[in-house]
Amino acid sequence: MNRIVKSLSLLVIPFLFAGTSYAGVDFIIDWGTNGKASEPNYNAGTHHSTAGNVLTVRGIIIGFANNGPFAALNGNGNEYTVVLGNMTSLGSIHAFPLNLTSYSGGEFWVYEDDGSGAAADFANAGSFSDGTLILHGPLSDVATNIVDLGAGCPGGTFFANWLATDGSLFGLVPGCAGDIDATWSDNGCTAVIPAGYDFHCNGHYGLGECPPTATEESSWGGVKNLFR
Amino acid sequence: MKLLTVCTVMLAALAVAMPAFATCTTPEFLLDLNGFDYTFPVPGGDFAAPNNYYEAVGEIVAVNPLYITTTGGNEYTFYVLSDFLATADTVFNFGIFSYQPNSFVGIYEDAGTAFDYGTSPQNATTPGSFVDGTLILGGIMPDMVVTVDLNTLNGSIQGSVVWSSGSQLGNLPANTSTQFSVIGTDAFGVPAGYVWDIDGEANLCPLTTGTEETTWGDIKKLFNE
Repeated sequence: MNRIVKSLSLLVIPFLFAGTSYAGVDFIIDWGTNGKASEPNYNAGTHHSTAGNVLTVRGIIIGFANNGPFAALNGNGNEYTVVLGNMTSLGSIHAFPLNLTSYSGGEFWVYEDDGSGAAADFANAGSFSDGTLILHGPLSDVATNIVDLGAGCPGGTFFANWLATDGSLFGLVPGCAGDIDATWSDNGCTAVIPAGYDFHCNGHYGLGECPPTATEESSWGGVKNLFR
Repeated sequence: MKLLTVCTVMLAALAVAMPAFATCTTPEFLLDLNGFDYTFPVPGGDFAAPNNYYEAVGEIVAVNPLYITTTGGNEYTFYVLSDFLATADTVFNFGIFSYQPNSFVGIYEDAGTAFDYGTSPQNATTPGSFVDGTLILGGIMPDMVVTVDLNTLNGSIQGSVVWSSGSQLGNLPANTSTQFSVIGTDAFGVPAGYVWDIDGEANLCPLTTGTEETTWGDIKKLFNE
């Protein structure tokens, strides 16, 4: 028995550092109903995106999950905006009632404006990218779908994966990834689509996974010492 | 006399605006919502199970104060209860589930008990803690559709709502429809037994009467019939 204990005590085991866990966090970044997107050369009548079109989404953030990494930003009076851009259409495919479009590439930017920049205004694209870049990274697997039953308002979803790589608040979600999900409509019967835009979207960032927290090798004795 | 004849012919040929059909013109924000959904009594998002219901509960996170009056400190929640499934189709990698025309949507105001999702709905608090208090808007969604991406298992719910009850029904302008648009994702925060974390909105859609072309002669006929 002693021999077993001794063997165990000599075992070198990886000890997991306690890291920040956001398991169960809802939408870490939520732009609510304040999202619009543009895609020059998009045909809303046929829900068709021509390959090579470039999609850009702009949104005014309404809040951050209260139990999430950006919770401290809530209510500080600053304006937060999100831009998803450089998404290149691979073309649409259609089969009643579905209209599917996939995009390659893509990046996202989240900005904080302390009031020194212009208030976000869909008529002024630059007003979404002034201020401090707090989070940035690539997008992948960007896809949209629109269901058009021929009656009522056509609508569907926008989906993308995000990966944080830099930005002034990158340290709050270092290397984290997740998805961006939004309602998606190209018809003014769902919500107003201002001039210069082609889509309305209501969406959020979900937090999926963050890289495993750092480990260091230790012995059982070292672990036991922690509890003393 | 000749002039009169010419005028008569011209009038007869004129396109005259006649009320004909209703279309949505400029939608207005009504409310923003998020919550979770489930299927019942067969759980796990089995939309195709016979006589299974789609249900969703959650909180109203923002409203248009022009149409919904809120009281600070009160809780605003929603409940969606589908009708039975009408059709189920697979297109590409998507499942499209259309429901029969009596799916219910309710918006509630509660000054008392806090809502609680719990697990494995229906349960002691779901939908109970979401439908207590006062029904402020209630209506029927005659065309509810759930779309499921069979690869990612994310999806969406959409339909139009015809409001017909509730203490604040009178706040809504006449002759409107409401478009209900929600996305569903299988996020980390989904409580056990629920299917999707849902996020979306409802927008009022004022209906304006469209026109069709006709002649004065046809109009006169209407009054002679």
